[in-house]
Amino acid sequence: MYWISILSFVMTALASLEVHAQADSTSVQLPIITVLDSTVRSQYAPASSQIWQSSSQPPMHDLGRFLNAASGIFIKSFGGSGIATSSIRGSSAEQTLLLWNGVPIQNPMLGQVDLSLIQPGLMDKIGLIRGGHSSKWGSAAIGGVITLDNSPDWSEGSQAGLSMNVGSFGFRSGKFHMDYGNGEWSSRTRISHHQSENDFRFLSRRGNSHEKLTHAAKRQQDIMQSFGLRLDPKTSLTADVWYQESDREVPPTLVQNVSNATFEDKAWRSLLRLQHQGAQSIYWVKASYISENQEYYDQVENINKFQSVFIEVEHQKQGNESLFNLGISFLHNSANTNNYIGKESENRISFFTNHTISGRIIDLDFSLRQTLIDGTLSPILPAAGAIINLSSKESVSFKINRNFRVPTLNNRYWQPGGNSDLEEEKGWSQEVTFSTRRKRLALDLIGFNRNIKNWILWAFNPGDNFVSAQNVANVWSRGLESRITFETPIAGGLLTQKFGYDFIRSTNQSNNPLYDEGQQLFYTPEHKFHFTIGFQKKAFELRYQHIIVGNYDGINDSLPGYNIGSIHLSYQSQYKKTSFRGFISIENIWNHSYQVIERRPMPGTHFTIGSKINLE
Amino acid sequence: MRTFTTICILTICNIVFSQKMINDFEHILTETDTFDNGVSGSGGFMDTSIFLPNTYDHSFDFWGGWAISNKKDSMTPGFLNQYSCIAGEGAKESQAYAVTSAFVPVTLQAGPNNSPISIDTIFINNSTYTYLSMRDGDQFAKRFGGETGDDPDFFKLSIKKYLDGEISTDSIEFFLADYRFENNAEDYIVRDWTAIDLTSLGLVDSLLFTLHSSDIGAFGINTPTYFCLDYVVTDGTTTSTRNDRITAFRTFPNPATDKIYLLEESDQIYSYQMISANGVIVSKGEVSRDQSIEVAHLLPGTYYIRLLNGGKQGVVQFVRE
Repeated sequence: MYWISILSFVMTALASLEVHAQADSTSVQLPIITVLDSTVRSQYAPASSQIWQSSSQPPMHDLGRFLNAASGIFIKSFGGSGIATSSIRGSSAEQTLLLWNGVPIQNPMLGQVDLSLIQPGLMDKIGLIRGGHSSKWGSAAIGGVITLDNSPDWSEGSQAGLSMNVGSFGFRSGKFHMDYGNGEWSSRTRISHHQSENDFRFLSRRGNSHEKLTHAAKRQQDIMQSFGLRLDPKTSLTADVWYQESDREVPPTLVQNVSNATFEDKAWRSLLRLQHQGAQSIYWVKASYISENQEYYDQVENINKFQSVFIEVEHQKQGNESLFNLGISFLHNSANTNNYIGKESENRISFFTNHTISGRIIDLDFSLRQTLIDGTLSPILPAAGAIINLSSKESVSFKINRNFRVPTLNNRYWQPGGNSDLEEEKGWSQEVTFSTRRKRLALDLIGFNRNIKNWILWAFNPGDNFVSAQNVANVWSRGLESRITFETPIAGGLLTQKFGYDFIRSTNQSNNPLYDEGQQLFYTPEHKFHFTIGFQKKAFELRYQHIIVGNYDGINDSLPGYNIGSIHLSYQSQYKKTSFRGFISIENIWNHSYQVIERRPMPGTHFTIGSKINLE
Repeated sequence: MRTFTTICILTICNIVFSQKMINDFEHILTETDTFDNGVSGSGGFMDTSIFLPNTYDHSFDFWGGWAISNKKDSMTPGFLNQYSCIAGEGAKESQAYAVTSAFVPVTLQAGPNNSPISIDTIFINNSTYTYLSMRDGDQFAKRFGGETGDDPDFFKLSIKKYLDGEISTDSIEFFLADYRFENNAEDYIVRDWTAIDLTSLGLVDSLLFTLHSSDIGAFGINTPTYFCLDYVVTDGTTTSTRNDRITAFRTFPNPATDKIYLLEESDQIYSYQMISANGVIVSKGEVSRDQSIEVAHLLPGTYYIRLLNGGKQGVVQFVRE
């Protein structure tokens, strides 16, 4: 922690010196260019995607809690210091792709990212794209894609900000950021510290008394540094480094007396991005290196280390009413653990192209991807979509995608049970959307259907006394999603009401050791309803949110549904170049006793209070 | 004290006059506070009149079936202490005992004579790993009694016999833990070596041990599926000693699909038994060096080939793909 503080101080001092130095020099105004991801790939069907500018969001403890509250997707949270993973449209956690500035940052051993370790405040923009997009983004984009983006700020001047939050159960967090730009180069520094004891009380069935969760503390530090350099008016180079370290105690389950388990994670993520913009075309080159060490201790120490190298070259050309891109990416993953025989690795090379055509009535979208995995060709992944504009306010869209997921390194090499003969999970998804956008009303109704074959499960083979990875499930997922937003001016303010309801059936369709035929997958509620009512007037905003989740099955027990309410009040003001924001959030305001994962209690009513000051 | 003396005298008389065979595993380990989990590839452990099969997968460093242990740690929870007995010693204050990892049923097979035996008594106890998991819970398995202490949990050992390829319909059951009592004060987890009388089973080719737990999830039993065995008393005589082992033989190929060949140094003719992981003798006959044994008719799984010759025997494991 000390070195982070020292580094922060040094960077702040250097940036300040630079501000003074530049103030006396004559700067040349150049056209501002911004590094963006390929627009032809990020032009999502609007109804299935949500994008949040981080600066306009209230501080959230972690990405899992943020997405649970903001997106409506189901987050499998172990509560307290525990991990959080996503289930989008009945998919597994491994079937959600997480991209940091377009770079996959999943743990290649598990195929997952622990969303509770991602601090939303470090990012400029957070995106969620529901539905299969393997043809655009590659392996694992079956359930959906979560995007985390940072972009350089080329505007001249400097700004700094500090936010401090405190809350129940020993929660303390602080984030400092400092940005500087002079039109030719930019620097953005973010430092974040987050800690919590998570010693909340929960209603115990033992005598209906309240017990305190023990051994649940969490500490996390992040530092992210981005530099941008304009090589010429059309070319920019950006470098990002993100270091993260966390220490967590793993609390006992509800049926465990004591836990001594701990989990430590240290990750270095670095990225270089080069962009060259022509009159009608843009070239991007990305190169990233990720190294992560994880140590899990529970009587037995399990050390996992992995590294990833990702390189992508992409060219996008713009026509009058069309966008076309062509790209190639290379991904090398290697990992070592005491449960592998030795260091294991994989190489993937992908070729992809996307083409969008925008018409007055119909917009068309085509994608194609082919991946070579350790020298073996995977299935060609085509996708097509169309948006039919019924009027200026109504549209209907269709999408069909072929999706796949490459088995993780653990799936293939974990001893015992790893299976090097595993095939990719693969299948098709379809989606139909009706959307309307009116002055005070936005409505999206989405129907989706997805079949995935060779779904990988860890299950017992007859006669074995260990589980092994097997391509044994075929899973049919289908459902409806609805999102409605009303806005009503009232009493000089704006009343906003948002409703969302998801109906998801995700059933096993094959005979396998884990599921009966027709059985809904574990941790997949059929019904999830959420609504938010907010009132904003002048500098104040008051918002209430309620989430209702239906019953579902865990791997040990059936879990009863739950409904959780939360309330948020914020105030923001601006004085000259100083902005201030203060807030208070009360979560689980009705003090509902519930579990998302069986045997793992969730906190009752708890609060967070915080403030944020920005100086320009 | 008088009762104890009487029991001792009767036990000694019973052993002397009816030629009881004691299997206490004391001869197997030469060091203290250690275990043998079959890493040598022996395929199992032979004692006076019984054989405890073992499987060891060198590619996974993973064992199954039985291990022999004299570890004394009755305090440390968790998988790393999987070879210890909660009593901290063997039955009757002995050093060594057998411990099994029995997620799938395991067998105890009749000894070196290729003939059924009658088993009078076995001593059973919990392993430290399982005992502490049931008492305190762990990240995967529940504390017995559950959140309220009232859950009717149990951990049960079921024993059936095989004779001439037929499995008995009746079983002898022993609760290693029982929390089903109305009065929670009566709930218990076994931590002392307990004798189980098996005389009612009569002659057996093998015993099949199956564990059952109330703590079951989608992947099967959550409770660590271990128990300990010691002091197996059998009735009858034997013509061999514990050390009459055929050690230098192998089978090829392994895994096999159609046939396996016996790779053996001597030209002797052996009688063989092919035994499934469940303890069923699926075929038997005679075989000599470089001769093949048909395996195409077998279902995929793990099997044992047991060779017998003049009171000597050896066991090797193979996999039918």
